[in-house]
Amino acid sequence: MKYYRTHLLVCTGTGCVSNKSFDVKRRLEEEISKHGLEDEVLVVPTGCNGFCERGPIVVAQPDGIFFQQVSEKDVPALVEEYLLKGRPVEKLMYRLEEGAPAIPKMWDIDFFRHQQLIALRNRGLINPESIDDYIAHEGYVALPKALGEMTPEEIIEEVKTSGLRGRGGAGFPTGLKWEFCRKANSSDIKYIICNGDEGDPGAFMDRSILEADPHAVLEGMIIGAYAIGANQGFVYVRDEYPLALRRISLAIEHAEEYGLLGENILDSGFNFSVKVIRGGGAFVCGEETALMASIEGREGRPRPRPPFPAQKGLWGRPTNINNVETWANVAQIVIRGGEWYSQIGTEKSKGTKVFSLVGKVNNTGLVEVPMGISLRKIIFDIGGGIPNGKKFKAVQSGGPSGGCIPEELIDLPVDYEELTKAGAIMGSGGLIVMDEDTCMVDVARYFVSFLEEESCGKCTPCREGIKRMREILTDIVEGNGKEGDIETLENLANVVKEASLCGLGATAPNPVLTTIRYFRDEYEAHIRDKNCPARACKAMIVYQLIAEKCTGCQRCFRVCPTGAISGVALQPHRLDSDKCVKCGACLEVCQFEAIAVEPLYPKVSVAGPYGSERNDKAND
Amino acid sequence: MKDFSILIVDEPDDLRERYLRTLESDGYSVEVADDGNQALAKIRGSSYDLVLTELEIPGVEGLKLLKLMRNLDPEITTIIVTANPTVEGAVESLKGGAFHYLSKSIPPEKLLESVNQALEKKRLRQRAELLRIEKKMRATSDLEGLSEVDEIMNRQGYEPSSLIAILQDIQKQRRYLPQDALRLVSARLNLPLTRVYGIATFYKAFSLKPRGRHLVNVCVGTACHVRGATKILEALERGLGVEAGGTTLDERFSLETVRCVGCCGLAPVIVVDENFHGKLTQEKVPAVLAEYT
Repeated sequence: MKYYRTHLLVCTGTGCVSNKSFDVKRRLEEEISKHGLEDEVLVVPTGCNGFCERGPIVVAQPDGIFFQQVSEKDVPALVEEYLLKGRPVEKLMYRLEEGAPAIPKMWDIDFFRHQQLIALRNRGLINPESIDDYIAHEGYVALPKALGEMTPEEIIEEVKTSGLRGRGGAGFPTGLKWEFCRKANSSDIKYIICNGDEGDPGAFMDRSILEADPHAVLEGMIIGAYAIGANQGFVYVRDEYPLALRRISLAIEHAEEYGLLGENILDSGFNFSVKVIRGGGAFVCGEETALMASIEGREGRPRPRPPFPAQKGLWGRPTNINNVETWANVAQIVIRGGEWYSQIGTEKSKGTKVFSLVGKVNNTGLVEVPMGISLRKIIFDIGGGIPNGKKFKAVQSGGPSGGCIPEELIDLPVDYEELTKAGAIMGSGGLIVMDEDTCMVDVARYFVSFLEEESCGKCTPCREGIKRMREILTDIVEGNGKEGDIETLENLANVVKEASLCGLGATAPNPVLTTIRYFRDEYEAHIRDKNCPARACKAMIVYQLIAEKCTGCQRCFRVCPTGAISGVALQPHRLDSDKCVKCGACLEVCQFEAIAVEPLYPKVSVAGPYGSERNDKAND
Repeated sequence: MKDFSILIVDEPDDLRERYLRTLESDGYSVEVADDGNQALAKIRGSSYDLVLTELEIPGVEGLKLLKLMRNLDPEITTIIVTANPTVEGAVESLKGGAFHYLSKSIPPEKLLESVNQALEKKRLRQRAELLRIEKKMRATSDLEGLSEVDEIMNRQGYEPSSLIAILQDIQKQRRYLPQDALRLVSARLNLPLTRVYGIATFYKAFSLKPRGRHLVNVCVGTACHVRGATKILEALERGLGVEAGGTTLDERFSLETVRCVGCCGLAPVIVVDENFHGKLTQEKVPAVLAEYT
């Protein structure tokens, strides 16, 4: 193997790729060979680094220097200054805010400093398309240990000791699940499945793991299959994840070439092969029985359990199904022992969890932290707080089946039990941060209409109950809410929760129930005062142009799709609210705070030129 | 191995065993169900070409079973084999759509003959259907479509479990699922067209309507939603003059929404064909669209 003085790790996760990181990589290689450095410096394409907000990202090793938002035109300076002359390139370094000192080293940056990586240990470090890179980073070390030195029962015992619980959402103890499937001996054929049908909007850890470290998932699966006694595995990945599909398929090919998959793996007499299945774009397929129906080539409709997949799964055979992140933890547990893993985290939730920190937060990206860390630490220390000096309102956890957690509970330690107590769930680990501009009634309606579309329609409470909830919520945000709506919603929610057939329906009311529980005042404001406190619901707001602040730059005039804004250059403009469709394009572009969003029906009549006009509308 | 699968519905006894062995030794893949309910569950779960059933079985009564089976799968062929043959029973069964009405006293070779006859007829019907589609495709000079589907099916295999993958590949090449392609797939996989149609309408990734040259997918995941995806979607709807789910008149763009593309760090995001455009604003929308002709 050749030795290089410096490795430049260019993030090629989906986020950075969309910011043209492949162009950056190509340009880096060109510049490096132009300066004759190709024997000293190696450019490595890696999976998602996690700090998507600042992409494209280039990390220089072994110095651990973090370069952010690197564009093609930054490359010549980067190569010349950093690689040739050994000078820092402060322009491309992270700063807490503008004017603050640059932080050159990746692990000094708050976003990374508080993280602890197990499932994501290789992210941004290795080339996910090279099996040798994985092997060089403690890859396929666990496999010979498991196959050569351990019995299946010992592996299951180790996983049980670790306390690892299913990372897909429900948090069922993984070791126990494996044991059930191992002991189900109705036939000699058993299957294992890796669930990569990451359905929760706002969560992308599975995609990231498959893109950054596919072999870690594969190694976990081979060990699991050996422990359970399965010879065929499936990786089910969403069709919307082309890069993840490509990388896991490539990883399987390479593992086959190296004899780590196929017949008689490592001379152990154990056979195992893996097939990749593309999902068809149906949220309910994340549910295990629906997912199995989909693999069999049928409509992905859930069926009642029992029988559980461990008894009767794929084609009626015992089947074990775990989520991508769960599989990615297995190899490390085998190497370091269950005891080691169980020392991380809280009493009942062990180890680390990957969260996607997104929404109205400064440092969006993927973070892996020990269980039990507080939401405040995740959102404010790692996430860097809320952008534009806005106020934090809530964080939504667990996707459409989860709930919204308000500011009062921000010191909550994050684990399965605490989140459930607060009315949310861990789910797959999406944390969507919301600020004062987010309307909680609209959020509830968003999730409910999402679930309405995704309900498979098999059972009535889910199909009809969710539809009714959506209708009521739509009425409320459109200003047609009436007294008693909140109580009807609560009633409906409880029925849907109790009577639905599968997890989708049983958890569907969570977003409604938690928003009512913590933000009842917002619902009441919508219903009684026809007022949206977040000024987000179109039916309850009006856009105004503040003439005193307008400089006549004409940017709003150019973007307005309906010609509602008029005026000549350098003179204050006018906004005709009859033509305005409230699209907000003007607000987006105005740099002088001359566009204001005001309540359409103010509680108290506001003095001023528009005051009387607005009151007239209220009387319509 | 013959390409046909058979389900025998009867209480477990020696005769059922003998039928099973006779049919299996002739190359059919055979399964059994002990009663009517079990039979219906099996038919729901997979697809059989022929069902052999006794009229007097526990659970659902034979004639009713006949009707329910045909509701599930109109192309299923049924042969009644009964221990108590009566003229009325025979008339009712044939009226109900059974292919044959046999007494259990006949030797197994006779039964086999009858099964072969029924399935031969079915095979001819399928062959005719296939020829009809091929002829139609040739007439509309869609030779390319024909060989495309064949190529895809050769790659993905002729297993019913490959159905979703086959449709995905057709969708990828054609940007939608043409009716003829669905018929062809149904005939070649020996699956009822209803089943193929069920899959094509259940999964969101499939479209039965032709799509434009470029597919604009607006991510409406939660992260994108709180960062203004609705406004981006509305700006696109205004700019393109179509609603989500529609295609522009010049067939340049189809506009759709997707529940999350897992690119939440760059919200709001749209995906045009396979390219991601992140941190989008309404102002930037026209420039993004201009990249695609």
